[in-house]
Amino acid sequence: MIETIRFNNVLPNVFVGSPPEGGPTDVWEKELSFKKGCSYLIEAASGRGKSSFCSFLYGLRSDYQGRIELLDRDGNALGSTEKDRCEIRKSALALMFQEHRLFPELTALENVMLKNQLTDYFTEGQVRQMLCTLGLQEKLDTPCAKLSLGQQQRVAFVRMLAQPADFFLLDEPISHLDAGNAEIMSAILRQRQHQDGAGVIATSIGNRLPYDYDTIIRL
Amino acid sequence: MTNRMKLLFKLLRQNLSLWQILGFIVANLLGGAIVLVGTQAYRDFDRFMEKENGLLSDGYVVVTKPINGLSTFGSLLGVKPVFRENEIHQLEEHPSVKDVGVFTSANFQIRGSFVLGDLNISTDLFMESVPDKFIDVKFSDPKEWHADVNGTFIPVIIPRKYLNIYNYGYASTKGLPQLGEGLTSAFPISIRIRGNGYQRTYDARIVGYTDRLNTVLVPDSFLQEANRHFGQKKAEPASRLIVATSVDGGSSSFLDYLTKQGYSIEGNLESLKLQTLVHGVLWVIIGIGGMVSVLAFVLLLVSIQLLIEKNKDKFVNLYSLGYSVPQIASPYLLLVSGIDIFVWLLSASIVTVAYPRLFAFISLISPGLRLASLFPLWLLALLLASLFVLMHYWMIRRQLRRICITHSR
Repeated sequence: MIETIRFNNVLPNVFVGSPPEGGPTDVWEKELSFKKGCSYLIEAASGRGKSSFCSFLYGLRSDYQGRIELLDRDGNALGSTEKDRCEIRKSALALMFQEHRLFPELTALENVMLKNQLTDYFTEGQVRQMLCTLGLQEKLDTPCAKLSLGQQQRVAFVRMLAQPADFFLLDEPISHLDAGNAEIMSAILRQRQHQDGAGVIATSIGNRLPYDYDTIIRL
Repeated sequence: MTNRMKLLFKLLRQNLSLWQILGFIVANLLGGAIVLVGTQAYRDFDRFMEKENGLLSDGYVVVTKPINGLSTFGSLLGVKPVFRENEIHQLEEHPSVKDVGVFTSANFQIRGSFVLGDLNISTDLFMESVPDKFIDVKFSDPKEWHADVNGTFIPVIIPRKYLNIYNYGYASTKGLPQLGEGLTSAFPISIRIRGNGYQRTYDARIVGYTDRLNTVLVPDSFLQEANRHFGQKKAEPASRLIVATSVDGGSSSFLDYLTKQGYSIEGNLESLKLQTLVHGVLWVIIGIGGMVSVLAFVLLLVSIQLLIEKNKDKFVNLYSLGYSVPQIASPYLLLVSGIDIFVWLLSASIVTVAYPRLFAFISLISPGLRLASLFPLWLLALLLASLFVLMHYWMIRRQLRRICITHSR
């Protein structure tokens, strides 16, 4: 159970000796904490290390200096081994990838079920219902290779929700969505956040997810 | 198959080459069948040799010191080429030697007489003995191979070739009856022993035939006792030794050793050489089969590794979704295990059906051959299948772990 995510003077290796353009940042080389139950928006211009931020936090990359800690209620660090990381990705940290990372040969429904079968979080009926709520009722059995980017983004969103989570991490979640679908997505996420008492960290390079953010952080 | 496994398999079977898998199946069927036939033939041949020689994968040789001009001269002076204690001990220490026995010769006069048809034959005889464990005649009751100096009966074993010489060389040209082995055992022989001032007559019967020893044998305990009783001289040192060798323990090195020591071999050398040769040939056949199987193993491994490399991005994505390496590997492991077990069991089935037919044909040429149980062949097939599965399992998991951990970072 992750209570706090703490960044201690984290700096991507790529910025060592050549800081990003565009002025000071609230994240890199700073002390920063994300609390469970709160919502954060990470706003950045392109090239400021936004996707690196998500990958570092999710444990997919480690090419940085400083320390990122996933702390439980008692302040113990979690996720030190690969096995723990796997477990955390199933039960505590949910990430919606900017590039979606869907499997093109699987249908929209199968893509979500592939994750859901790992966590047994939803019933298949609930998955169908959620995809339909996001306007994908005609595309459930369509391979993702044949979906538009906006449709893929909605599938990736539902897949992110198919697990228990202490934090939802959304990397540019509405970059290909219209305002209507963005609102629906917001409503679903808000409901899940209240239900699970989870934290939400969303990133944006301008087109931000409409949400009641507690904190807006400049990257 | 669980729903998760179905979805994973649907995802990961992309790029699967049926031709490569078929290639593995055919190659491993061939290699596996050769290995299994080779090992079965090895066992059958050993059973054959056991029947023929009373030994299982072992050879017995009789070792002597050669008689040359000098020793002939020496023997006239009463000095014979004999084995000293330390030489016998050295021989026992050789890795190919399992046991060494000493020949004991009769140290008294022996005269045998018997009646054959109208012929009353009487002749001087010789007798020797070796420890009972070296004798290749089996007795249901150990008492059958026992005699007492104060008793009236001596059991005798003669070389089978003596009977053959009589039957095919002598009787047929002289118009005498040919004798079967059963008949000769009922044949009464009278043996008179004389020496040391004593004389005694015994009834004797041929109780068996040896293929191993080229001499007339009587029980060792009897001859030792008779030598003490009738013998005129003290015990003779060993001039001939019988040596049990383990053929697989390096018979060529043993033969080299004997040559180096200046010893000669008599007796079953041909059998030893044949056994070594056939074992060698069968090992080569098993080796070829093994190599074909290993190549097939590598072929399947390489096809799966190629498949894994082609699907690399999918593994990285699955891993980043929370799938563990064993979970990602499971469809491949299931596939490979299934193919490995299927192929080895199919190989064993083919050999089980085909080998007895081939064997029946060979048995027509060599009637002594008897088919050994095929059960160990199935055990071997299962063992090799398990080995293949474990090796494939380990290699595939290792590769997946490397890809997932390296490329998701």
